[in-house]
Amino acid sequence: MEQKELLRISLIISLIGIFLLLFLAKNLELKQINIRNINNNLLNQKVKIHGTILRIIDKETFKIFSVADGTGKIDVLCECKNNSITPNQDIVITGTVQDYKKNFQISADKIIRLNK
Amino acid sequence: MIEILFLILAFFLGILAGTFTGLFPGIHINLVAFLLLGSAALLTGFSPIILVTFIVAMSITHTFLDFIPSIFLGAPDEDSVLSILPGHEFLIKGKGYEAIILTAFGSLAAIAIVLLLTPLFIFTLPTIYPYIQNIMPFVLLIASFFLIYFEKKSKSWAIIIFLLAGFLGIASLNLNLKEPLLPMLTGLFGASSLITSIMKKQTLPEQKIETIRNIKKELKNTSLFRALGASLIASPLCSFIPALGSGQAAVIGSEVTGDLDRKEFLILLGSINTIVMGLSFVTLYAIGKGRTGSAVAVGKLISNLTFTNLITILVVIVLAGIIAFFLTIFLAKFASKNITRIKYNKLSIGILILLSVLVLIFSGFLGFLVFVVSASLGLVCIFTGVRRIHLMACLLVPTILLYLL
Repeated sequence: MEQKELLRISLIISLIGIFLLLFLAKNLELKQINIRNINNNLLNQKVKIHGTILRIIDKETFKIFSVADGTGKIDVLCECKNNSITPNQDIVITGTVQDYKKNFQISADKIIRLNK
Repeated sequence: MIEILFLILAFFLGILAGTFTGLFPGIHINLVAFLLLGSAALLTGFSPIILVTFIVAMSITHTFLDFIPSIFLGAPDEDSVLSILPGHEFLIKGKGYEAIILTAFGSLAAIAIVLLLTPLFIFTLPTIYPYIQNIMPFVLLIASFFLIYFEKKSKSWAIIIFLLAGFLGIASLNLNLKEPLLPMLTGLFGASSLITSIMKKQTLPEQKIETIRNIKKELKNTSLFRALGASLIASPLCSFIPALGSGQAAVIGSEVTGDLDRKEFLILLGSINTIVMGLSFVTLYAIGKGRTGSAVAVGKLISNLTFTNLITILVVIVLAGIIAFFLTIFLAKFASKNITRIKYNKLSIGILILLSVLVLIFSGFLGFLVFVVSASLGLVCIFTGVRRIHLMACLLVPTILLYLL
């Protein structure tokens, strides 16, 4: 096969593949997990949890939500300026599992309030 | 006393692990460092400095040995990727051994450079880093601009490949893959080179094994200094700026010092690889940021490195470097004697299958899709003849966006 032909085939596969991967990255839904199941295997992975806010610590540039779901409790870090989130609210959080001083925490990308 | 024995044991096990990760295509030290962190719960009986010794010894050894698969098999990782072209030229002339020895010269000299730059990093980095951090996306944008500007073959293809690799990086890093870099980098750099080798039905001539003295004698007097000067300029930047790795440092360094010949470029690559790794531990001490997977792993084991920890790390770097230099000579000699006994084409097919299986195991089917797309983009780069360093936009673009958004 000519090099030009091979270049064209590789370019087409790359273009279609990159669009497909971008589409999947945008649309693949994360499976919801219980807080109890967060372990070392999920470190630096994105997870989705559903729980209730127990308390909120307001730091200067970020907030820490203590969230429980009946199986466990975890701190969720959020660089959010929005003050509409209050204790006892049900929320769904999508974020990355991190290790902070040998405890797991979630750095939130998205928080959805389920009750107002 | 027992702790010292464990420290020595960890050091030698680290060298063994670094030999394995260096020689085995597709197994990156980051993977081993993070597997070690993942199993840290099982190792709680050990002092963190023992695990740190293991990681540092492994990482330094890896930077010496990873040129062997890169040059002999065309299966590099992201740090040794630029060695493929000059290295392969040496290999098909029967001088693969010489190419590896030149990178080992560079790596050994790099150990001295790391020691030289350490005080400078400790005293200046904490002061200048906050300013650099504020302008980081612009530094990365300028670095990207220069990489494209210096492209000699085709600037338009360089821009297209840079953008496609950027989108590939954004998609892959947002797919929630376990080990997303493994399929992406293995596909872009490893699989694409192997596929071209297979297509060309490459055969290798008998490899000449020159004495170290002869290899040194054939070098111009200024070669070592020119190569090390270039790495001295470029590698400190890449030790604390995210997403700029050894490859980019090599391009920047060689452009700044003027055209280096093939031998000088190989020395430069060897030195930069080791300097970036060594200084990343010093950076961790100076500003608390790890710029290599190994430094991040060390930072997780010891959150605040003390000066004594740093001295231990530097001693490990020096000793591991010296041992790794002789290991590289021994293994390069072994590889040179035996590479022609195996059918190179079959070997390439075997490695490609092995890489595919590793990707499937560590990153799943979605990871395999990333691997296939990355390999195709790697092939586009090879067929157009533009520098493969543009493919590193897969890390540069997501990092720039992270700072800007």
